[in-house]
Amino acid sequence: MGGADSLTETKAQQTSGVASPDNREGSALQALSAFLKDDMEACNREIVARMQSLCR
Amino acid sequence: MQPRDRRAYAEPVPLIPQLGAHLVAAGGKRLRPLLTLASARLCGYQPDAENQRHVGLAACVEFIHTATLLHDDVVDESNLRRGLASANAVFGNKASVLVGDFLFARSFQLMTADGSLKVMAILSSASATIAEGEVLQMATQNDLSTPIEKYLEVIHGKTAALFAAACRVGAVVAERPEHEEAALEAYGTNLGMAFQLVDDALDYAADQLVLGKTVGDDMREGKITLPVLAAYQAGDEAERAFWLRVIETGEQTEEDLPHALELIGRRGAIQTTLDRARIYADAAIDALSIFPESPIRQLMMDAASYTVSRAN
Repeated sequence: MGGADSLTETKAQQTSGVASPDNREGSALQALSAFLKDDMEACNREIVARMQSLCR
Repeated sequence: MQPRDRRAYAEPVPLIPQLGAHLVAAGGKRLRPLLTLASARLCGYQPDAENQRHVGLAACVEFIHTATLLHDDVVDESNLRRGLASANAVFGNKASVLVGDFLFARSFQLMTADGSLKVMAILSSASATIAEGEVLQMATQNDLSTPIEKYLEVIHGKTAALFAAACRVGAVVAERPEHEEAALEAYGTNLGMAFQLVDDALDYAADQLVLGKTVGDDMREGKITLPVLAAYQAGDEAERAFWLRVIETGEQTEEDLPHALELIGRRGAIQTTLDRARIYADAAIDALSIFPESPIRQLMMDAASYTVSRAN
């Protein structure tokens, strides 16, 4: 499970910038994420804040 | 019974905060919370400073997902997650299981904070379905007689159920009617099915150097996926004997993966898998047709469409 995430953010993409089919999908999701930028930032803050309670 | 030393509760287990920091650093695409946020906005949800229900529930969805990842990596004995060492590889199985439990508990805190019994019903039901899917996957492992319908049930449980719930709660927070909730649930279900089918296809088809994805993990673990079932069912006697050896008995050599890829290619099993993924992606797109045209509807449709095209 969870493989889907790894498909949208692969190491190869991060390091080489190679244009691949995966990048095309990444673009679609990135466009959606960018459209909801404020919501996503608020969500990320919420996730990190609650996760960091583990770090105390 | 003697009262326990209070310090036993106050002192953190050192591995736990380290693992929490590891998860924060690892990040992720936040795909599932993105679906909650997008669904809420598609339904016209307008948050204000006092009312950010969609954000809290999106975080809740991500915690459920992360908890399942922690547990899965233990079950699958995986060493990599998102291109980095997995939590269990770094901190061990015990810490991963316990932090997974913690994240599940945290997700239920977020659900109760939201206060909607309807939301709790949707997300707790999805959590149960995920667990059922994982158990079913374990039960079908190494079994080539698994019907394709059973395989589809597995991927519905382990992937599509949370996609569906993530989308449906978006409609709930926007207080939209039942048919809109159902439409978003259908979008999420079909998108999740397409995602997992493509994921399973790429395990036998991905260009490892380009995609950065290890090929053949599923075969090494004896996982029953559609590429294998399709190749096995279409294979001749010798091919079936090969699949029985590598998948059911687990006797594998270094030469087996290239041969498996050749057989899968010969029988068109990747295309069979992708064709089915396309059907689900199209169904996801169709499910959104009840909503008026808008930029966000188009972006959600594009996401479904590209799910399959990534593998072509």
